[in-house]
Amino acid sequence: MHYNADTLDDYLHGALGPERDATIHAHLESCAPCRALYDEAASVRDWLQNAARAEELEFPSIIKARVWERVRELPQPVSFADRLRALWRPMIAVPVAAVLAVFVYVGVPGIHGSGQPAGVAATYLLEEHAAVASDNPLADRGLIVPASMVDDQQTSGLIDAGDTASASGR
Amino acid sequence: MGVPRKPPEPPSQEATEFLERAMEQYGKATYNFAYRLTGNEADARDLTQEAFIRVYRAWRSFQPGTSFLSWIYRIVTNLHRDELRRQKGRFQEEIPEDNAPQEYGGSKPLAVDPVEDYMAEQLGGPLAKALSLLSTDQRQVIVLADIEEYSYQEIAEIMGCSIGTVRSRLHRARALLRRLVIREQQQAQS
Repeated sequence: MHYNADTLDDYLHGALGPERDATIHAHLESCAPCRALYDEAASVRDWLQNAARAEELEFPSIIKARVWERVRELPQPVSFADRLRALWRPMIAVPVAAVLAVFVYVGVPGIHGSGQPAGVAATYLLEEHAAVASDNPLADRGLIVPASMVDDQQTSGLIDAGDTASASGR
Repeated sequence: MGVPRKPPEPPSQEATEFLERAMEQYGKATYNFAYRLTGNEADARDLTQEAFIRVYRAWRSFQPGTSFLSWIYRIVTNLHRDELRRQKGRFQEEIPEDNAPQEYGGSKPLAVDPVEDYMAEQLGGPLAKALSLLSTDQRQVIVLADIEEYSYQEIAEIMGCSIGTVRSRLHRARALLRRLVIREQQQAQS
């Protein structure tokens, strides 16, 4: 039995498992054709390594210079302090301050007057309006009138008028 | 092998120190690796420069204690592959198959300066000529396995492929090189 060049390449690169590696190692001791094939593979590797050493190039200083030049052009990382400082720019700070001021004005009781709630009770409005309407019933018939303020006479008048209108429409 | 250590806090001052040390310690190896992949100095310079820019931008992702060279070789390999794809798109050229020998070489220079191309071709030694017979993938695997002496596993990680792919590329590449090297050795003896 002989090993092929691919297997011997793997053996050369130490890419085989320990058992297979040991088997091939023992085989190469006694098999001349496989040994010759292995030596050929090893000589290719030696040739490549020697040629690589002979053709080794120095690191050109121009690369370093160009890298630093490019690095200077890159956007630099921004620190947390810089980010905080950026918030003080007028373009951001003024609108933020205005919004905060509105929130404080609306949200904190007592800051803008007597401390009374801003709204007016609905019953007050209704009663006020009913008083006006009772002084001059023709001023605005469409407005809401509390039941307590409406007397029977007004109600019957309204009903009669509606009946008359609907009767004439028929 | 010492590697640049990542400092605990990442201000830009430390990024520049990291880059400085990386170029100082690994600039030459990276440049030579790029040269063997591209086959000419002009492209090797561009590739190395771009790789170190990437190192600067991504230095925080480097894992202390791991091999810096493996990391930057992976960057160089990816950049080279991307560049070849761009070139392919630009000129509608096909990247040769793994086992296809190439007349002008898979190392067809990326540089467009004809004088530089000519000089690179004239100055190329036996290794550069031998590598130019191989496809890009074969060249990468030969350089990593035979010259840099990485294991198949490490090569697979650098190239982003399976160990089986590494093995098959290496076998094909070595079959091509074996004939050439034997001829070179016979010429040297005669």
